[in-house]
Amino acid sequence: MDAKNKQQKLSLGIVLILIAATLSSVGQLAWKFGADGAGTYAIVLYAVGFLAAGAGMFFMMAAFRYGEVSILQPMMSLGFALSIVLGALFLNESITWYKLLGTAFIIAGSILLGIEGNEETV
Amino acid sequence: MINYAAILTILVITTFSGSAGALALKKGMNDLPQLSLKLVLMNGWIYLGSFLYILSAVTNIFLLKFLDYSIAFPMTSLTYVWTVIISYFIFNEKLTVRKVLAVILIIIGVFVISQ
Repeated sequence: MDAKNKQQKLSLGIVLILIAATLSSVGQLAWKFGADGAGTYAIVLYAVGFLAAGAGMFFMMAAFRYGEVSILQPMMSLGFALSIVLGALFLNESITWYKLLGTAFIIAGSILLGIEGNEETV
Repeated sequence: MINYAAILTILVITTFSGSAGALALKKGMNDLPQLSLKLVLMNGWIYLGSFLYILSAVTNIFLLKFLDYSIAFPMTSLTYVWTVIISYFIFNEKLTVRKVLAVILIIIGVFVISQ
């Protein structure tokens, strides 16, 4: 495969994985709204969250067809960073140094695991 | 007010069942000679995986009742840690320095977020 083609496929993979990461954070956000609510409202939000999480997984699987897992999988943890933004925007949750630092550690760990996973398949 | 130990227990259940559920589903899918609904419905691993996934979702929602969304969601990264541990003990995958370091970083991250 020529370099340009490979680069294009990777770009598509990155777009797909970013969609997947967003869907999984949105799914959890729906669950959070459900958990804070009650009755039919909560059940509908649980269902929405479940669908979003499932769709997220589907997009992640699809993304892996277009690029190396070591590059793509760690990008799923960007969803954790996104949750800090979404939590602040929609739930008035505070952005603390603990959240930022902890998420940075988690993303670093995910990147290391991604690199490892890739070498096994080579 | 729910205590720290209870939250930790829920977190462990949701992340462990999420990891084990994904591995069981993967095992079930790999076992299938071809993809057909009948074979999927007859595979025990797929039932186990689905059950664990639902358990993970329910306990995850439970966790969100007690924690901020922007705390609970990043904490679910512990799922990756369980995958490394289960792969080591069940599938005899080797532990490398990088994997151990990754696990330590994620655990530190979860601990820092919980503060």
